Amino acid sequence: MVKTLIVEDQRITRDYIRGMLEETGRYEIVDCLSDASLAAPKCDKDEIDLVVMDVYTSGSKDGIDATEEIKAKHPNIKVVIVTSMVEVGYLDRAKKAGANSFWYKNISKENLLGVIDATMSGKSIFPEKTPPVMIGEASSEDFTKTEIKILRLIIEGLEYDEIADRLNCSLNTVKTHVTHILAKTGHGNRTKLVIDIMNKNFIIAKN
Amino acid sequence: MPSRGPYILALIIIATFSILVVLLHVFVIEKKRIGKHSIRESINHLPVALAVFDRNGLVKLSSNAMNEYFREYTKVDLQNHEQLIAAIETLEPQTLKSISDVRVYLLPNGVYFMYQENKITINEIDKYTECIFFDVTELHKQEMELQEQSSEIMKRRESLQELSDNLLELGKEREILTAKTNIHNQMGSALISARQALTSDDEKLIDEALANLDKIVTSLGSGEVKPDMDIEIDDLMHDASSLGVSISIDGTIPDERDVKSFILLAIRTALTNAVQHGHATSLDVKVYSLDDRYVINITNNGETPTEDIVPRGGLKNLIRQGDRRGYKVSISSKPRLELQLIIKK
Repeated sequence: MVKTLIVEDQRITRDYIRGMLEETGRYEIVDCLSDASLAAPKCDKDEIDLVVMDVYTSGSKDGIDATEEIKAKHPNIKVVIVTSMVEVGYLDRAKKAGANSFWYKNISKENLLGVIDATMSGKSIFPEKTPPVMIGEASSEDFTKTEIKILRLIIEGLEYDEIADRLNCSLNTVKTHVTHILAKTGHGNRTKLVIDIMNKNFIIAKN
Repeated sequence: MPSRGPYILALIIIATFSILVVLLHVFVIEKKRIGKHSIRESINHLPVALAVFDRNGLVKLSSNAMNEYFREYTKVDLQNHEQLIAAIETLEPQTLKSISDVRVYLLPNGVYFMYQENKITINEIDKYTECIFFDVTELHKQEMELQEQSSEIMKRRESLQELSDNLLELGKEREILTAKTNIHNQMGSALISARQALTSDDEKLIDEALANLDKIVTSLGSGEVKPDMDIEIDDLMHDASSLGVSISIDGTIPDERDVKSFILLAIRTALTNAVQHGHATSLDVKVYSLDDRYVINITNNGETPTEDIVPRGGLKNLIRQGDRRGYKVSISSKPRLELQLIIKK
């Protein structure tokens, strides 16, 4: 039996995942937690083989940071990250954190049980890319890496000169990029652009 | 005999010319010498107000700017050092962050000046006190503008963070709605199948339909939700118990959404730290509802830290969120670790 820890703050989702796994007879649900900050201490305390980890939970640590913490001390524990947020940086962060697989709620073609079973058999299932969303008139896939970096810093509240410092480029370069982004999306100003991006969870400001 | 008149005239002209040259030379030399007048002229051109007092405190030298400032403020002429100090002491000290270690004052006419006093000794005998006023009005103005801009930037950042937090919550609500809709649809399909199976009298179909319904009902969980249960607090208690920690709450956590979510965040933060660093097995939460504020004290039975707590990670985030809402968060480690929240009503 695969000793499983579910980390998910929404009861309805938690109970669904629990029911789905228990029904197979292959997974033993050791416990459920609603706070990713407590996942690593739980793995220290109890024998866990698999963690099904939501990204955004109660508490201040997100599931990807918690995954990194778990993997640092327990590299053999499999971690499957599940999320409904199409944050552009999550896939890369999850891979760097050592997550074994990644599944988008309501979006991924594969079903969650299939992804979990494949993970336990040694496979690593990651979507090819972050699902695209429309930002104004543009697809999120139309943004360059630099544009995404700048958008993230804008959402974190930095001014253009601070962004220029952070990215080691000129103020004019930053302004040019923002002008391009506004032109692509058709948004009239930075405020509308930021609200649209945050509303779609394309970029989420990290605490 | 030839006339001696032209020669005498020539001699007179030469002598006069020579005297003029000598006088001019003397005049130039005199001009180059530094006299009192030239010193006074020089200090009046300095971009500061300056006064120098002798060992008895009497004014030895005073620039026009100093005289004007002093007369405008006190209505009398500057005579001695004591007068100057007495006048300065009637002024409210100001703060300029960029020059925080010097004295800055504001005159009624709106001029900000930085005051500096130096003791000067000449030839180890003559002692003087030099008092200088630097006009820092422009610097003050720029600092105020910068402060205003910084404040605006901070407000924008806080608004963005608040928007981000709210949108994340919204995202979660959408997720729940999607999950409920899916279950509703599955339930609907299963009920239709069950009805059809029951009207068909086909036992195999009926068994399949019932098994399907059973599966969906099981996926809804144990259903142990009592009407008066607070799910968030229940989840918190369960999480703590999973890690071998019992939480006791003395008092009532307020219902206001923002206040409640912040208090629960604080308890979670304290729980995480108590487990990771203090190896605690119990957490005590005391909630006091006073006239104008809530006071929440959170302690645990874990190891007391040996060093001062430097907020990082969860604690830092908690303090930041508290600052944004105008709540006070304080952490003390002696005599025992305590997290305190003060939330104005």
